[in-house]
Amino acid sequence: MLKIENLQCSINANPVLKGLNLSVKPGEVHAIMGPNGSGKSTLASVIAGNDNYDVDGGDINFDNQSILEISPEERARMGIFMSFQYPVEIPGVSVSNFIKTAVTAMRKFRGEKPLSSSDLLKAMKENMDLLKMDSGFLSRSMNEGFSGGEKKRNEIFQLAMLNPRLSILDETDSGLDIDALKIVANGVNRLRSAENSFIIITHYQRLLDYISPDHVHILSDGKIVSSGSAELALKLEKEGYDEITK
Amino acid sequence: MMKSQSSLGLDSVENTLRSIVRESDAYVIIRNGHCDFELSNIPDGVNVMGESKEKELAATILANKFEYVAKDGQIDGLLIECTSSIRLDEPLYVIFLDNSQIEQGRIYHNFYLLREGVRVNIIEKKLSDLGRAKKQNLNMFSSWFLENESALTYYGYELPNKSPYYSINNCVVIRQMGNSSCSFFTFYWEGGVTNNELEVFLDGEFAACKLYSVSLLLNSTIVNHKIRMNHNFPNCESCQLYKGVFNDNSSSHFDSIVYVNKHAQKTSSTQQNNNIILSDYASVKSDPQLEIFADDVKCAHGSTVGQVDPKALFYLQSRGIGKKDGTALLLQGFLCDVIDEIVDLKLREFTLNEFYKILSINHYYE
Ligand SMILES: Nc1ncnc2c1ncn2[C@@H]1O[C@H](COP(=O)(O)OP(=O)(O)O)[C@@H](O)[C@H]1O
Ligand SMILES: [Mg+2]
Repeated sequence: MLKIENLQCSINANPVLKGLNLSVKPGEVHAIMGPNGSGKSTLASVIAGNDNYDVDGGDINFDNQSILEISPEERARMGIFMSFQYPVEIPGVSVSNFIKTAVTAMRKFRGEKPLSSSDLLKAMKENMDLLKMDSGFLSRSMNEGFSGGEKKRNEIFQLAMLNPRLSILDETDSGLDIDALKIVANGVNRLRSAENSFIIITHYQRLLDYISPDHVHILSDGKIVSSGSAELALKLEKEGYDEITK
Repeated sequence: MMKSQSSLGLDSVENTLRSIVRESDAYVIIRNGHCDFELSNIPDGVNVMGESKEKELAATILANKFEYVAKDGQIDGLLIECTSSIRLDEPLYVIFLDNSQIEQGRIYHNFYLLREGVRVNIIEKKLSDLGRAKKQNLNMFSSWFLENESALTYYGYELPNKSPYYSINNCVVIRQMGNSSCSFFTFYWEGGVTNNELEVFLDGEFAACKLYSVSLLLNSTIVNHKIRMNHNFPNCESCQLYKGVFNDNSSSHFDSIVYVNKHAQKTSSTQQNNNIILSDYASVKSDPQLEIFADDVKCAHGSTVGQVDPKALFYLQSRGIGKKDGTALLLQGFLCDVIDEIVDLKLREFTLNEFYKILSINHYYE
């Protein structure tokens, strides 16, 4: 489904990713761990199509097609979703209006009619229940004045509404207390299927206690330096990055 | 020739009217400078004086209230008086229809008088694209007098894309007495050059005046604001919230002064001008100013000129929303604090729809 080959990226002429390879098959859950500044968010952003980053070499294929020249909105419509590490505040745009516009755009792309207001509301309510969010949420401005935890939950709420095929969660666990973490993990687990894949970027093992990954990769200085099964994350937790990345 | 004749006829006027008001609405039609009593649907409690002897009366009433009125009684326009017997839940429309072929354009001088304790919502619309061959200039003087305890909500709309004018000069004077309140909304879309001069006199304690405005400008439209808010009495409140979105080579100048007299203690005033520029060719100048001569006052002012937030746009794109729709959504968010102040739900909907129409014809420069 996703195949990244020898990817090299820079921001403001600073090289960040230095030849990264990654392959994700349908239904797989990959965890990417690594120290601060190793390039995790860069990887997520480049897959999503953020043009602040320059791709200097290599390729990203999705469904056997290079997506480097494809706009972010088209990538989203193909089924790629990124949960932002730092979700953007948008004053004056309510959560419900945001979701409605996104869902409508996705449906339009698939040649489907817009959902009726009541069907949309029903779907929103279901997913909000799943994530234990209260309904006052819908009328608030997007992320404005949200706590860290609320922002992250809002990201997973969008994920649940859009049901993407490839979800990239960029440090969705940071800033969540243990209860919120369980709720989010539960939400993600409900969305796992044979078709849907996840890339879970995290600093800590603890999210992986609730979402068990098929593969774990360690990213260091713009490269994947080690890959393995779920045990790798435990080893990392015990021994620290220094030991593993040296 | 035949075609333009028929488009000047009553049928077309009525059709145009029906697209704006329902028969059950309350409306005053001002046609080529005169009140058309037959076409109008004037509710109880509203007196429209437009004929010569009434004009004289209007002149005497108003000469006492306004310095600006020529004392010789020479008035070209109407007096609309809202008295305490008014019973209106819905807004009162004042519609200007003009299909005259006067080369140099028309000069209106209209007076609105809100008697003590009267509360009224007034919507003004200018409609003139009735088959006239040439564009004209329009000069519009409007004087508002709000007696004690009265409350006005005013909405002024230009019709999008259809402005028949080269230039519109709006000169508005609002004089407010004690405990009166005024919410004054103006909306500007495409069309020629509009120069607004607006002066407010808060001439009684606890008067409150809120000015809200949105400009959504395309092409080479120019809308300028020159405002003077005079706090002459203590305990008054004023607010200015002017928002603009500028595309193509449109431009605007916001030049506004809040003046606080030395007697006007406990004044509270805000003055805010926020602009988003969508094109390299659009330009905005913003000059909010304060002249304060009292010491116990709260006055805030500020202005911003910026672009659509690229981070927010990427966020929307990453959810499948295209650049154009995303930009429209962000602009709608940007304008929402003015929209949210429109209490009348139907009117809020109407205004939002007009915004959508314009935002959807907006094009964006990369
Ligand atoms: N706007 C920027 N300008 C310059 N360097 C940046 C910018 N954003 C990120 N970087 C650098 O890119 C590297 C990778 O950052 P990032 O992908 O956010 O790391 P991670 O998510 O793993 O913590 C860091 O060294 C960071 O300093
Ligand atoms: Mg990061």
